Amino acid sequence: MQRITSSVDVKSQEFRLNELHNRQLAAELKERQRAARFSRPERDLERLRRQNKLFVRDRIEALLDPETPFLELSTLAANKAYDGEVPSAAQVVGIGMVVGREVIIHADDASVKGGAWYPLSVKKIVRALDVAIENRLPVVHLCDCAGGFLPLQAEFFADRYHAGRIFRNQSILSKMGVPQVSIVMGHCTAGGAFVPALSDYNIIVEGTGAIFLGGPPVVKAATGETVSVEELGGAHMHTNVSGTSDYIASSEMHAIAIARDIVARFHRPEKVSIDRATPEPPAYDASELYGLIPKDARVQFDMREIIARLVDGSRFHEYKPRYGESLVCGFAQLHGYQIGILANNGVLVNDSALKGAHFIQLCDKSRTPLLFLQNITGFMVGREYERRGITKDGAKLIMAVSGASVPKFTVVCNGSHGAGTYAMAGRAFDPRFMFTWPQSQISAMGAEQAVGVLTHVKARQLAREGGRLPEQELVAIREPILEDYRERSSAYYATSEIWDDGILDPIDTRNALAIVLSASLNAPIEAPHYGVFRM
Amino acid sequence: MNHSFEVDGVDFQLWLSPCQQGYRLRLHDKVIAPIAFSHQADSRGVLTIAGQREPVRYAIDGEMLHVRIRGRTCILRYCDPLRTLASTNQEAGHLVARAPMPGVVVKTNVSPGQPVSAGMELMTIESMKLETVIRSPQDGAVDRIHFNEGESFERDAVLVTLSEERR
Repeated sequence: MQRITSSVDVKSQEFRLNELHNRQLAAELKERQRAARFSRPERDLERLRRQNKLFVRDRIEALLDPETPFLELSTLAANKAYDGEVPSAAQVVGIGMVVGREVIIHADDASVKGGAWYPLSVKKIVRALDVAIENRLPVVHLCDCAGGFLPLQAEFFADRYHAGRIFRNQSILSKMGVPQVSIVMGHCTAGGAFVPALSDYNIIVEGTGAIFLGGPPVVKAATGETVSVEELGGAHMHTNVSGTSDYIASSEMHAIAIARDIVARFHRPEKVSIDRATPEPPAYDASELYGLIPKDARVQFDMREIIARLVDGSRFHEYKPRYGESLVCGFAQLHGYQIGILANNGVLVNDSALKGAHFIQLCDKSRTPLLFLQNITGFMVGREYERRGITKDGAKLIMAVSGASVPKFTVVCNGSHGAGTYAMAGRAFDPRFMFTWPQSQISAMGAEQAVGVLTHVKARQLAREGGRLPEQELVAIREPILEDYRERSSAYYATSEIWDDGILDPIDTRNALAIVLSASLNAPIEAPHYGVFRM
Repeated sequence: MNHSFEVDGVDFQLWLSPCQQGYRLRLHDKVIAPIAFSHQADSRGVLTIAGQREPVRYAIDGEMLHVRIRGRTCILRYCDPLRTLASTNQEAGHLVARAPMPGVVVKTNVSPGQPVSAGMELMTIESMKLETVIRSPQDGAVDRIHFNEGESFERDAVLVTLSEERR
């Protein structure tokens, strides 16, 4: 495989300015992540101490194998929701190592609103369990949830992907033979009570842990019965009498030790074997990514330069380099794993869509996982392209992306717009994992274009009524629309809504991808089969 | 969660993880690497610590590990977190021995005031044509014996009460 020769001048003024800009974005990301993880009002931390509970991050650290990576997902979930008062959607989710086994950890964060489930908390838990199902990863639940946040129940209770899906997913995992273990570290009330109950194993902490469908106040209101927490659903009752819990622990640390002992016993299935080589670092330093991503999101850049800073030895076997040049396709290794890369070098036209569809099938046949690097404004529009069947060719690419059996991974490097978002394995196409870089914009249409369309529509409406939109008014309606549009197409909004699995500092991308590649191979890969390609 | 070993009454928290030339050892805040061990013969081998080769002899006896290295013998005890983290403070519920099923007392092995240790036989009962030994749930002293030989009791009845203090 040939080494990519970088043609970027790292000493140029442009490179330096980009670098400054992107390092600032990375620093801002790190600060926001730190705040979401650790910034809590003192009274909430004090309450935990008083209750003799560990902070969720300390629980996770104790559970994990020391000196191993923990890939946290959706750290900034809900950062733009609920007035920013529910950091990480009150949930910690990630992939880590427990006694040498890759597992998903899902932990309620009782330092945020007592660990109450908000609509985005539910979405994050459902997603965590989807990750477990798709990749056959065992789950460790650290339960400390006071129940759903009732004022918002209409947004998390009844629909298909609402809270019921958590319990459905747990049941499906168990049916698939993917084990789960729960530790009850606080009150598990109402729906939350089913999380430990539906886990194959559960441990309850004496004193602080309790499980009940209705807590003492609910029982009092419903039947008038006065009952203590311990009597109603305490550790002794559930381990001695009801059998709802399997093991009693005298402290959180004891419970974690028991959980580790249980995980150590889990069956270790053979991973799917795909082509692997000895890992080697890229020939170009990852930190150069900062200078490559343009300050101005509208400036085009060569994706091969990005690939050169992600893959082993910067080596890239480019497929069909002279055809459909706006979609770069090729093979590379990432931490030794053979992968197929599809990366945007411009707007998708007929040739690039055809090339992409063909390349996906090649990778699928050779059991090669796919990495999509998005920087896409969409498919080309216009009479000539429609006559050449751009919609038909785009449909072929979407058919191939949807049908591919090999694991898919998507990184939004800059822009992700229109049907391009779909054709490049956007969230709806079930990439196993999806990450976003801090500056990215994700929307149906670019902000400028969308506002152009919206004001055009408005002007036409007025024209029909015989009126005209004065220039001044045009500017007045333009600005707020643009502002709102920009806000809701930002990476931070996308990650807040859990449209991705988290924002990555570009230089962490290679390691994150290696972790998720490794995790994805816990699930078998089906034989390739597709729907009908419109020819 | 780290592994924990006790040497001469001092607790050491450590973790061994693979690295390119063998293993790296994290001991509290210190990192020692590379670490390797080559087994040579029965209970003999060569330990490599940060590149330095040290011949060792060792014997493993359950959780105890006897190591002879640099002319010294050390005794290491592996502290299983399942045991060390389990709390020692027993609540009052542990101060009674209860009947696991309805039955009749066949024999009493202890008398009030007698010191007992955890696991010691307190009483033999008969139920469903089977004899069962009732053992002390913890260390303490016998406070009261609730049923005489030949008397019958229901399930969960308190058979023997203990007191915490050994008199």
